[in-house]
Amino acid sequence: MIGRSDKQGRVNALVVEDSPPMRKMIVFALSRIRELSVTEADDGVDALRRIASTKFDIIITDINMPILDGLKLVKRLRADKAYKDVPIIIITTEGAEEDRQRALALGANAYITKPIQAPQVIKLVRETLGLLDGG
Amino acid sequence: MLAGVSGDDKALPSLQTQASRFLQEFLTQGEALVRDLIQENERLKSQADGESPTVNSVDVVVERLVQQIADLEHECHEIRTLAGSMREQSGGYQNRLDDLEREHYHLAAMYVAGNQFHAAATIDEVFRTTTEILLNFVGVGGFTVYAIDEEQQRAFPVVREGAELAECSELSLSDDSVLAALASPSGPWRNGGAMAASGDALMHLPLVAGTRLVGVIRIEKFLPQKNEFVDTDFSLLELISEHAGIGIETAWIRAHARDVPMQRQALESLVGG
Repeated sequence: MIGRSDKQGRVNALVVEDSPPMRKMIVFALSRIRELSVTEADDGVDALRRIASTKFDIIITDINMPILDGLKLVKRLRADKAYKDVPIIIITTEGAEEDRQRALALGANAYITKPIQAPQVIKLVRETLGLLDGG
Repeated sequence: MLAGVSGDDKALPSLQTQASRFLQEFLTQGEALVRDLIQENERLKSQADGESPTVNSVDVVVERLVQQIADLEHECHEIRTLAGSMREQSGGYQNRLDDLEREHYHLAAMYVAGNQFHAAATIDEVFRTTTEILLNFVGVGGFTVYAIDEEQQRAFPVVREGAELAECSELSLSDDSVLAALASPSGPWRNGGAMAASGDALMHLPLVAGTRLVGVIRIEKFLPQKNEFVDTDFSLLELISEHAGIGIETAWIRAHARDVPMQRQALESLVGG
């Protein structure tokens, strides 16, 4: 299992999404995983700011965002020694096959397509982190 | 804990208890069998030391042992059957858990969407929220949002997803047959109400504040991975019809009344009225 970072021994997750309703729904889905402590970022720039002060164990990011998009964020993270191996899940739309392939080529581990469903998000995050079901 | 079953599930401890109990019984019987074998071995040894066992006594022992083996095999079969049914039960619980997660997620989506509409302070925010909900929650990939010019009795396109806005023209509320049918709503759209499909539109969703038509969404196509509306979509469409409508009217009033100072007499008349 991925190393647990916070004081309560929970896994730190960062959700990067510029759409407030979408971000709230991803956070809601992730709140079903008890082992996770979830932090929200409004966009790629906000994500980098948060990463500077906290070590995250998994990052879930949208691709289409203003200023610093998801692809640039994945590239920046993979260039950072501390985030070289941290799992990154990207959120895309079904039509964005090119973006998805680029993100995976840049080092993202997996992707979720919109509209998302809670069981799909929970299952993918659990599998990525190697967490047992039902925890 | 069994895979796929939540720690919250009250049924799980009973499944574990059942499994433990059968294993316990199985092991106890195995232990008894070993004891019997040792005892029998001792008896045969002492018989061999004294006198040669008769053919009959050996037959009885063998028969008893064969019977015990048959009993254990029968029990083993029962345990296997039970384990199979427990696996099935566990799968059922997992499906139920997934259904509950989906329902829970849908209710959260309704809450978040309603909250976003009521937090929207400008018409632009209402349209942005509408776009995000249609795209991300419902799975609609192509749509046009029309606002209503009540003076001119025309609907003009303000937001478009999946195609160019410039390709859309404004429509007359009286001349366009679909819009004419929506022009005097008795309330927001409800599941089971007319979809007002036409040409390449899957649906025309009226945006309503009370009985005032303030906008219309022409839903043109789904995202590639989706091909029809499901029940949860209809409740989101109901919510958009009502709350985006209220949001537009509220933002309109706010834009025009924000600079009007609040006055006691006016407020009292509103409170009293």
